[in-house]
Amino acid sequence: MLKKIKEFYILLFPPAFWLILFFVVPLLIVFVFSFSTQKADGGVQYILNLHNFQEVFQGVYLKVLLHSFFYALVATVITLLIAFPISYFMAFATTKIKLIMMFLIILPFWTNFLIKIYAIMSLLGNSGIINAFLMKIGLISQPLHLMNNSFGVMFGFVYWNLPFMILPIFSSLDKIDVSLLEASLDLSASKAQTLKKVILPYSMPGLVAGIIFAFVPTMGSFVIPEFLGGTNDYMIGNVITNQFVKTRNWPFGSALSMILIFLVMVCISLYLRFYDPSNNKRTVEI
Amino acid sequence: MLTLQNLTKKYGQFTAVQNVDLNIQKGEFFCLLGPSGCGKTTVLRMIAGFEKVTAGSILLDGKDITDLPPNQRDVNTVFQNYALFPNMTVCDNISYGLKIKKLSATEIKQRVERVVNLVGLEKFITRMPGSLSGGQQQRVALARALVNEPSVLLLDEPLSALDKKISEQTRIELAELQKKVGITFIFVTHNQTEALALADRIAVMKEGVIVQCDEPKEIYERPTTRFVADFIGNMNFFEGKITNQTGEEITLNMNKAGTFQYRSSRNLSVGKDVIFCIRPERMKISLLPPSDYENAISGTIKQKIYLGDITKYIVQTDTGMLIDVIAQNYLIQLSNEFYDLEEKVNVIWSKTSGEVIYA
Repeated sequence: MLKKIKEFYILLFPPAFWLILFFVVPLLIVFVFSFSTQKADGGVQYILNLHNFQEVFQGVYLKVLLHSFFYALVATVITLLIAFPISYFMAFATTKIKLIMMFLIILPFWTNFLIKIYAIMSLLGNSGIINAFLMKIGLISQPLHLMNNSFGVMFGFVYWNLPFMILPIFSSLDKIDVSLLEASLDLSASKAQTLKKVILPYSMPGLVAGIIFAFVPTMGSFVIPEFLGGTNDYMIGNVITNQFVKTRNWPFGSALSMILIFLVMVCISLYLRFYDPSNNKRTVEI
Repeated sequence: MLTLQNLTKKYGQFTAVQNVDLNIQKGEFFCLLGPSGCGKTTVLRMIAGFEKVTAGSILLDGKDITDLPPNQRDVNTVFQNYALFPNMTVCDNISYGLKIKKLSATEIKQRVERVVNLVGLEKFITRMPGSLSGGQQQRVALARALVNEPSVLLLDEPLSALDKKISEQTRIELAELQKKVGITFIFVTHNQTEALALADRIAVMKEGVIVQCDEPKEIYERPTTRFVADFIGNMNFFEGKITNQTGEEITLNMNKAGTFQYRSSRNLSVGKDVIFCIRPERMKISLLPPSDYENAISGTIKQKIYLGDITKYIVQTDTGMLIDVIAQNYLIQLSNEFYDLEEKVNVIWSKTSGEVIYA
């Protein structure tokens, strides 16, 4: 017994070491920074105060935060509406189709993120493929504004989030025994009732994971709004990047980061309060 | 009454079920028996509505239900793996169908209580299915189907996942339950003992076709094909010809075992190739010559297998055939008839025993 525990700690050591060194320590540094002040040369002065936080709660930054939250929420909902039917189809398809779809979903991961962004730009741009095609067939005479506005940002978010949403939902739908669906139909339930009473409850762990995987990165995203968004689509991620890269106000950037982390944590814990994926009762295994 | 007419199911080129015709009476305990892959489960799934019918029709109380979706059929299923909803309590599982049908709360309560008493689940009503034993889960599955009071209850190998003792116990309860509720049961199994013990009638299936449909006793005693004779219980087979029939006295000339006499009221065609089959328990080992109402073959005991209640002898005849003979151990002890390996003996049976099947 004691030996087993020893092995457990030995196995635990490398990941724990890694996490502490590259996750906890930087987070602590950011935490300390957020209470410090900017030096004239852009460095950090360790005079601890709440000044950064006071500044955040003055107007414009709160608006950007709210705006980012709203965008992340909408992007997550749209992704969910697209991802669920795809996952559902995939989960109940034949093994061959399942493999092909899995391959197609994983394929984008092999491409560099920036290249994908540029690909989207060449698709959505004023002289991009979509506009060129629509103008050629004479459906439109002026190019549609598909980019550098909120549509472009949403498109980018949904595109980016889809695989992260599909995979966890698929993996929980895939575990549903088809005989459970048959049992539901056998007991007079319609397909819609079966979806609501059997399929949805079973896909909850995947849904929760997918929603978190989509919502959290979107909330902090800055590359997609930068490339695909317009001037009004500035998100909290862009503000933070600017504070670090352009304004060189690391303490203020850190304060914004801390608030973002706090908000995301509140959202997730509220969500998990209503549904705890670790407490699901999938105990019948045949 | 459930009627299957010319029921056929094809998967591409493969025919899973072919021209199945059956009339199943109201309140009958009907059993579909056959080896795995014989199409018995496909027949059940077509009745339930899970498989589309390729050809033929299904009539329930005169109404054509061939193309109705499963949720509109007055039929419920007990699944092989029980298919209980693991996120619902036993009570919620059982009341699922009633809630879907929007019955009143008091009616649901009454019906659930009645069925729970019937299957003896009173203590488990608030438990989750995952915390129940296999036998208990099986009862929940049964209760969940029965509570809907269907015209026909379909059971897909419901006892196969249980261990032997519990399966036998549940078998008895199932038979009693069926008599109590009076619902038509259609029971699919590959286990011939279950079929013999439970069914009012058995349909034996092979490669998508019903080869024999009759009462258990007839199926066991009077198989009409070699397949049925072989599939149900143990059987010895002798191949040969009918050489003569005078009234009930029939002479059989067996290729490898000489000439037998057989007594039957059946009118058999002389000269035809036939298979004579006889159960091992209908034969006995003796050192004495046969009486005039008996047949005999001489041979040597090659194996003796003690099985508790019985002993199985494998006897090699002088012509080289192997014959199984089963003797009750208490009879062996009573008569003090112990035989040794390699002992020369006669295998004896009554002329009225056995069955002749046309090859």
